[in-house]
Amino acid sequence: MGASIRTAEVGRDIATAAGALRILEGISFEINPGEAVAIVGASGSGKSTLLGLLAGLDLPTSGSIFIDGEDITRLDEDARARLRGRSVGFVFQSFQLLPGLTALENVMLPLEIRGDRDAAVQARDFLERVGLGARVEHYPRQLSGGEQQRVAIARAFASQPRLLFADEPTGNLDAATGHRVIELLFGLRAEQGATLVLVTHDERLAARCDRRLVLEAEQLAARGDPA
Amino acid sequence: MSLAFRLFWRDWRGGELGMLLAALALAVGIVTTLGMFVDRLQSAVEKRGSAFIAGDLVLRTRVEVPGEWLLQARTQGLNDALVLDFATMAIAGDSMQLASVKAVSERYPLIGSLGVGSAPGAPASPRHSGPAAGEVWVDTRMLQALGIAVGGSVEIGVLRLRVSGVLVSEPDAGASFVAFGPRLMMNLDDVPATGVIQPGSRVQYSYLFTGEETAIGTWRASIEPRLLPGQKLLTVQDGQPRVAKSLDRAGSFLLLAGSLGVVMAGVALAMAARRYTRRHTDYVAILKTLGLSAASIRRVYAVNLLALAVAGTMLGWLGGWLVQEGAFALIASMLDMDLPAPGLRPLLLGAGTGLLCLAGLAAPPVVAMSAASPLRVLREDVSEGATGRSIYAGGFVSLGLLLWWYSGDARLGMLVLGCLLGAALIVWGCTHALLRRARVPGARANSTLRLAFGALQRHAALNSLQVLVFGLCLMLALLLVLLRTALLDDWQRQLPPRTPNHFLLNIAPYQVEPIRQFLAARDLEPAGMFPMVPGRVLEVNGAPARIQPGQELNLDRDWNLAWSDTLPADNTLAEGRWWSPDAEGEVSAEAGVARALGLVLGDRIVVQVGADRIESRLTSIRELDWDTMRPNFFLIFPRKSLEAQAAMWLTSFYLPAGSGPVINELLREFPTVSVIEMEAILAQVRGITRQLSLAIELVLGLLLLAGALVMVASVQAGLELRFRESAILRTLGAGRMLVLGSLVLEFALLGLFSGLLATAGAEAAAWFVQTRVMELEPTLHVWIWFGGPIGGAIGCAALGLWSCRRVVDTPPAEVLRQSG
Repeated sequence: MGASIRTAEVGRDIATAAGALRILEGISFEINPGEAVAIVGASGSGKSTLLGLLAGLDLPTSGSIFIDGEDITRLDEDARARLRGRSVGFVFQSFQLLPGLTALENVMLPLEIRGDRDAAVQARDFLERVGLGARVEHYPRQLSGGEQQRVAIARAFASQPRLLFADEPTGNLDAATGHRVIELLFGLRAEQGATLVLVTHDERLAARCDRRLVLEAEQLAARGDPA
Repeated sequence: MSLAFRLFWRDWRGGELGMLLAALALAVGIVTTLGMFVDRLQSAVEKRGSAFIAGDLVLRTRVEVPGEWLLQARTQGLNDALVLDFATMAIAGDSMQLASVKAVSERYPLIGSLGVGSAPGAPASPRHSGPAAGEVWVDTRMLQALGIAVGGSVEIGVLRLRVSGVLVSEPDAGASFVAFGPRLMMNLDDVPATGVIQPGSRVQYSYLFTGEETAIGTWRASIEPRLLPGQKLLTVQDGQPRVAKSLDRAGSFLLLAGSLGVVMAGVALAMAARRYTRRHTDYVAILKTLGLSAASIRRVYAVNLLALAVAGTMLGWLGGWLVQEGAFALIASMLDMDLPAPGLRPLLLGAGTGLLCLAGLAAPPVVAMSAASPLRVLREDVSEGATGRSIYAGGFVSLGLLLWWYSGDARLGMLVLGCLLGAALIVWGCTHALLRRARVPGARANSTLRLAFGALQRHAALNSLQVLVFGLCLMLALLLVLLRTALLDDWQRQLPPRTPNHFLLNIAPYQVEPIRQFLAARDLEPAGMFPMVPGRVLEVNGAPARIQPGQELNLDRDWNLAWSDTLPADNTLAEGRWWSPDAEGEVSAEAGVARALGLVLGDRIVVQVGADRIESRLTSIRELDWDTMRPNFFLIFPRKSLEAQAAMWLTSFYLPAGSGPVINELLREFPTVSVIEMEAILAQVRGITRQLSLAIELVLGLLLLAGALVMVASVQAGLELRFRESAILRTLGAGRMLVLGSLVLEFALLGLFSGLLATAGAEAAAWFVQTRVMELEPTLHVWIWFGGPIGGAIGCAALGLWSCRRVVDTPPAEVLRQSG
């Protein structure tokens, strides 16, 4: 079962040499358990910043963010890390695999952090499922972009998260590879029933989601309709 | 914790820790090598120094000391030996010769060895005790004077003794009773039977002692208050001030070199730590994103650092030990010394250096890194965690502690650190200002030169750091080269080739001219001929002469006063003017004496010569070098002032080795003249300075190697950026030669600039160390102002070419794909 998300009047400023710069302002919305939501908007509209806030990677300047009713803006960094380890998976545009670790070890990492004893077995299983059973001992530099993203997807799902965040997951991939990655992402999500929040420019990808949140001029322009 | 170990192992396997480990091993290795090298060499050289007096401590006296003193020494675990020096006639058939006899007890020499040959000119073999009872060893001169060979016999007093060897060298030749005649060494047990020592005989007893430093100290402290006038305790410092000074200076050099080695090792480690943290900041962000807490991350890295400390220390120890063993093996034949085994101190020093470096230089950035924001996985511009001054402060403090520990001298440690910090700030400021000024847009990729200049400016921050490291390494290298040159020159200056090695004393005025002719007939050149008139300083400006506070000089004995028409060759006038040949009532003082007596030009000085009081006005002050082996005088007068006084003359000259029986002929012709042979002392002093020079060159070589390694490490630190830029340029159509040429040129320009800054820094530092630490004359070194920058440019260009050749050999696509 996926997790629910609710934001209340979330704002985010960043300090610049010219003074505080407002990135987000008055953002309020809800995402239901198991829902897939695409955050779309022009470059610089604050999509990635919002994703970082929702995932507890950063704190808002104002407002609150609730995951399953718990206000994560009141948690300290370590508590938010624990929450991420327990319930959250990530897929990034630049894959964010650790270069010194093999594909298998990269997928094992969240399981090891959680303390799972059979991390290797589970990780191997997930790599098989993303079609990389034969590449488990390869390092990221020995894999193509599409393969690296599949490792990242295996890593994201290995810990069976209730909440999955994806930041432009096909941004660095060609159309065909991107398509395969999307299929994989949505397929696994459907299996596990995780809530999905993804940031994208890709219309086709956004169209696969239940709903869109459109960011414009620091604010939520539209909550979109369920697809 | 098991997760921490797993991550450490993966990190290690991925090569992430290699650079840090290498830098740590280098730090530990440099300090261990230098520590072992310096320790072993110092103790060997100290032993060698002690050999100059054939023991650690010598009690010299004209009368036997109470047996209780010796008993006390033995109770404290000291070894002792006795040497008797006296002059007597040696007789062989009809020939007679006044001999300088040295009668030695069984355990003489306690340190060092005697060189004894089987025939004149035959190679000498080392012996660790004197001749057996009933036997004597004599020098070649004695054999010639008596007309006998080894196997023959001589009579000393009423005892006939067999000559069983030719005495070639004695460890304590330089410190023993001055040798007026040819040498004869005999066993102490034979002395009573000769009957030559009677009450009132002129004999010098030298009691030699060796043992633990503390035991020696305790015994010395208890005996010193009981010494009678004329009894003296000597260490190598007192026995051979020249050697002691050389040892001191070499010690200062090695200490400084070691301290600079510590600094270089620290810089290498700090750079490696910086590279490691830069690469790992994203790693930390991902781990946090995946749910690892900051505390767990700190634990992971603590394990990393701990494992690094252990591995780095082991590797450094091993490397350090191997390098110094190899170095000693290389120079063993030239060193000609027994080397003690390395002690534990260098190992502790090495390990301590590793730990302190890790704690002060590597741990702070790593700990700070654990504060990196997980948001970096989305946005790379997010901070890397705490950086900056607090981290550098930690490194600074630990370097300070290391220097203090290494040198055992807080002042020296702080001085070195302060100077380096000052130099670093100046270099950093100059570079930053220069590279940041007139920044031009674009890569300027239309020529190698413009591309290189463009790159210099674009990488201002990286290049400032690189100039800092290059400049620091070059400065330390130049400084050490300068100091080494200054030391070696000074030693060379003290004992240039053809230094007078024979002194003639007690020359009567009527013998002066015949002796001149005797020497001239044999192509020997006297280094001046001086009259010596014994006299005592009584008054200065009407008041009794007094030594100034803090100065040392003995006014209670006769000084040898001299007269001269001209300023002696080695003297220079510091103040005043030299007199005309017919002057009278003037005096010239040596600068040290003038200081000790508080004299200024124009002072009236009264000396007592025999029954006469001679009053003179101080008209000049002379500077001279007491370290050269030439006759010199505290006070010199015009001819007319002292000519009427009874004088004995003195001269010195250089007699090449193997000049035949010149001295015997001279003594036959002028039997009343005394000869002091200095060759043995000179040979020993030359030997020890040669060994010290060799050691210094070796340490210098090791440090230059360490400096080069640090420079390589610093280039490696910026390699990723260059890889990426070169890939982009080549993707855009730049040729391989254009990219490589611009890289080499960029490094050459960096080297030129670093070399210039390093030269200025080294010159200033050398001036300071020469004048304040080593008490040498400061000199300006014109050559380094050319050699430093040009050498820097060539060296850095070569380093750049070597390090960056992969940059242009790797396909651009691979580089771009790997750097994401």
